[in-house]
Amino acid sequence: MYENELNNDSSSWAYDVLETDQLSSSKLQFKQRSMNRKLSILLWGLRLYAIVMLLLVIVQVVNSFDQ
Amino acid sequence: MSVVIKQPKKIGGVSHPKRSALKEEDLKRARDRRRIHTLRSAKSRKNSLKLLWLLVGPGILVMLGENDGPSMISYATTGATYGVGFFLPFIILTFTMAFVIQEMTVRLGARTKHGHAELISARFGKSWGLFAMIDLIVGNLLTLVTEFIAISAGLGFFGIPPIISVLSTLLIIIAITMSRRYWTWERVTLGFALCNLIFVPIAVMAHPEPSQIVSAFTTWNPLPGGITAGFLLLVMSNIGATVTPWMLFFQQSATVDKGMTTEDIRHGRIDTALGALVAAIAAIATVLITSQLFTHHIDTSNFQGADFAHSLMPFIGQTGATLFALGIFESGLVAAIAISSSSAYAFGEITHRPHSLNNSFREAWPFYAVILLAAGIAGSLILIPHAPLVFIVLIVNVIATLSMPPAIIFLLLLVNDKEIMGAYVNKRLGNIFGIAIALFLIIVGITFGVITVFPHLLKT
Repeated sequence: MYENELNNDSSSWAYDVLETDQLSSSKLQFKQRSMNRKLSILLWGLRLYAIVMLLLVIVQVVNSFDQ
Repeated sequence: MSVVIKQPKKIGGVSHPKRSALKEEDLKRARDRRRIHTLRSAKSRKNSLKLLWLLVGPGILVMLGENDGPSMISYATTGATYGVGFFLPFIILTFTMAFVIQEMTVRLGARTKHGHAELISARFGKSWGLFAMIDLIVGNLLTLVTEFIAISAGLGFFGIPPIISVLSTLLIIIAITMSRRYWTWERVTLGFALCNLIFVPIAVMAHPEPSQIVSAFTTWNPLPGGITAGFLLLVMSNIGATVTPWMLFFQQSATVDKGMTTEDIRHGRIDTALGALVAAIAAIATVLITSQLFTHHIDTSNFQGADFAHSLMPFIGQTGATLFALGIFESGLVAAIAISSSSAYAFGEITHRPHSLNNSFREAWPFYAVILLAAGIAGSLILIPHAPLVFIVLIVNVIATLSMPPAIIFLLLLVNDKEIMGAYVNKRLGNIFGIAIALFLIIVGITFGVITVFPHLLKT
């Protein structure tokens, strides 16, 4: 059903109801933002926080099993 | 006849491609959007309600999906441990936090038409996108294991063995996904999700004391035992039951897959608010149900999913206990559907492969494979004898709470990015609330860390 529509002009109505960047083959391409030193430190700091917290959780659970 | 894509024109870091070829995914999405356009052009009260009906979905699904198996067990444990008191208004607070966070994902998805992982990768670099995807998929896999434990526990009440529970759930996931139509997938999953309200009639059957409920909401009391390590753990568990990273990824990707635009942001907010409200009601109902166990001094410290249903039988009868078990099954099922989809969305976004529930299997087989693999692996794990399931259940909610601050920071950075958000960038009030929530979660996390290292600082 969809293949027939894709191959003929009756699909042109789709352009009226979809925005250009909603089309799967024409999504907006965003450039990478500039990462200053503060932002890099923040992101890597959060990464370190997540790893440390994960280790603490594992310690807590192992402790609770020992008890 | 397909139209050739012209070279995109870059403006301020954003490319604007011209008209391009239609794919099957686009046509399916266009069919959904056409109904919305028709209703918008013929305004009436009836059409407003129809429009709301068409546009709700991602918000309700994410909130009710987050009332998953472990969350409902967490609420059940809360009611059984602390009764009717502090945690009732606290649940409202957590869902308010969830609304503030999730609303931002609606704006991000509707404005940028990018999923969360995709946007992180595009704006911060591929390595950060890859980190985000790996964290999400690993976290989701652990969470999915707990969903299958809940599913197995819920159906175990009826004597159904775990292998049948797991296989039935996988079949349901396959059947829903096979529609290859986002709309159908969404509506069927919504139907399952709204069954979360099954806890409301059960709460009525538990005959809670209305004056206690009013007192709890107005005074945030009582809090039996005061602030202890156990209390803090339950606070974190409740937060993990309402605010988790997969929700950010899921709602933004679902918003994009549904084809929502900036015109739909208002409805997206209503959708999210409705979801938060319904989920909060179900959560509070669960606390009210198991407060009967608190009142009758029943020790639930070693309870698993089905134990609650069995122990509640004297207070809510066989019917109530049956409905409770069904509710636990439903909560696990909906979460399994939503969470496995969020993994697949993130995978497709980072690997730049088709990732829509409107795609055919041929176009998007890796996307569908991730859904099935994620659910399949998690389901299989619970069938392995001596698998460390208790360990996984214990850490999942807590990990979700602790991993939320980095996820919120990325969210705040994206939603404050004027280049991509334009007029839909976060306003001052949004930032105040967003940063306050992030700080709250970081403080809770650090406090948990201190208790872990120095457990004697607080009375147990």
